[in-house]
Amino acid sequence: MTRLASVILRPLMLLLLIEGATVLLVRLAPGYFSNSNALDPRLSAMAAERTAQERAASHSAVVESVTEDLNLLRGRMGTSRYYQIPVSELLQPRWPVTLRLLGGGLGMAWLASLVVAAPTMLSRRTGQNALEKIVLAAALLLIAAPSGAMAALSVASGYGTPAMVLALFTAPRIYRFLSVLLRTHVAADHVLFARAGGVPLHRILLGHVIPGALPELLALFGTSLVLALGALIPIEVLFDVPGLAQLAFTSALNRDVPVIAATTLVVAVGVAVGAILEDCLADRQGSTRFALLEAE
Amino acid sequence: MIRQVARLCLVALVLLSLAVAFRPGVSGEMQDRDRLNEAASAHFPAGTDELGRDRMVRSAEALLLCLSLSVVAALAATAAAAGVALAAAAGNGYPRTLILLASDSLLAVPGLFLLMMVRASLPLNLGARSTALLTFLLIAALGWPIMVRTIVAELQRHLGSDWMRYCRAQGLTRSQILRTHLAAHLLPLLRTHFLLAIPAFLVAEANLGVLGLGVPDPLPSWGGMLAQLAASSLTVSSRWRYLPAALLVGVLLLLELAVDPEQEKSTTGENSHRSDARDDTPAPDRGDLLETSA
Repeated sequence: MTRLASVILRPLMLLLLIEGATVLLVRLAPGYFSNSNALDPRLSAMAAERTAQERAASHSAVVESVTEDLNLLRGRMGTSRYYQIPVSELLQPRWPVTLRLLGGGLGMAWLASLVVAAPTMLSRRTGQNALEKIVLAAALLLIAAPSGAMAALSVASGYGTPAMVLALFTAPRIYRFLSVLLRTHVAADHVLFARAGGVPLHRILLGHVIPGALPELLALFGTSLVLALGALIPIEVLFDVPGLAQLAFTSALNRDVPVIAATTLVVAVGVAVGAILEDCLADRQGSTRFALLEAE
Repeated sequence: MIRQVARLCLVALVLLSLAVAFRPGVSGEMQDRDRLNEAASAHFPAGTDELGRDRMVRSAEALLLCLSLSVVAALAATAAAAGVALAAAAGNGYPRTLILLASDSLLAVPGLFLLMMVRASLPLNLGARSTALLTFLLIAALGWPIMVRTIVAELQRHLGSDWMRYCRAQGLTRSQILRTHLAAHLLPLLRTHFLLAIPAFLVAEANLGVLGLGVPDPLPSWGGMLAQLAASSLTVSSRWRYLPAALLVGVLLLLELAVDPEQEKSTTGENSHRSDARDDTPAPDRGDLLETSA
């Protein structure tokens, strides 16, 4: 019970802290009260008046960040300062786009990692056969490429889709852990017995290795989700995908506090889900991320 | 062997960039409006960009600028992490909890998201040099939390160790223990963090630059050149436009090969004279560091 409380309460507390800090940061940002209409000579007096009104009506930065936290806890996201429409209306058409992109990218990445890691898992050590050496070299090259560089290269060359870039970014990182994980489970006695009995590779993988490694695989999924969330911003911005990450980017540039608070919350919830997945399994498996590295 | 070759290549690349960037009479900021988006020629071996600037010189300058600022930022972040970890380890109870909570809060959102939010909140109309410095300072300011946990764990292990008790029993002062013994035990871990932070910070600048929030024009940077690359799909056909991206990936790859965290970890174990040590502190994960900034 205590364990469950700490697993759920800690991320919740962190979410609120992050939320409050983000609002505080944006509220204290230079030019928060500036209005682009002030540049228009015909409207400048009106814009100045409106800015003065907004400044007079606003609370202190700390009060505003606490209020924003309380509003979000009550499920109220407020109205966008920039677009002048409710934040929920802004998020509604965008989250399915981002979810589809995440699903497509992560799906492709996991499939590719499994397909590449499965044939090489029977070798005892990393980099033992030629195929694995080639795969490792390719993975190393892809790991060295930042998500922004991958997206820029894809846009400039005209090849690839946002989901493919996301898959290319996450797949080598997943593969690195997955190959070690599978190799560790293939070395188990019951798998060795199945291999000695002539059970085909796909049945060993689906019937013995994956069920045994499921907790670690779930934890690895949590980590890959966090990785993909981080890579979404340059991908959505450069490919002009109308998703949540692009909205976060434009709202950050426009200092649109309610939208920033909402998008930060969505992203932080995604990260928290990944962290909870990992934490829930930590007792049973140890810290998967590090344990896998140690095993390698 | 691979590490040595990677290090040699890295040094050669830096020397080559120095030779290209400091050739007399050339500058990455010099514009030739009659030669916009020109293909490779004898005068411009890698062609020109959309403002007629020499792409090779700009790429070399970007390498030098980003690499040197990343080294400085990595140094600052490591020093900050060490200071914060010392404060956390020394102050048991609430101070320690608060420090770790602050570091966890910064890690609770993806690094690039956090960087973008903070960078967009800062003035966007500063001079190019000030912005470059500010960008890397920001990356350093947000880069330390990932280092703190391992340093605190290492510090606590040492604080409860036999040699520490022996030092105290011998009447050594706190500063003597810190300077003479603790620093020697901690330096290998800090060195590893420092080396891993350099590529992570390069990636962070590149990703910020792609979004237009990195080092601004006219200063050359990898992020800025990647943004130009993304915008050049319809206007430029020369393959040399991929040079900055290729150079960035090449340098990151060389850094990846030159600094192997597992080997660094074993070096740490050899150098730290741990007679009582049971090394249960996990090695910093490069994937995590890159993810933080990517």
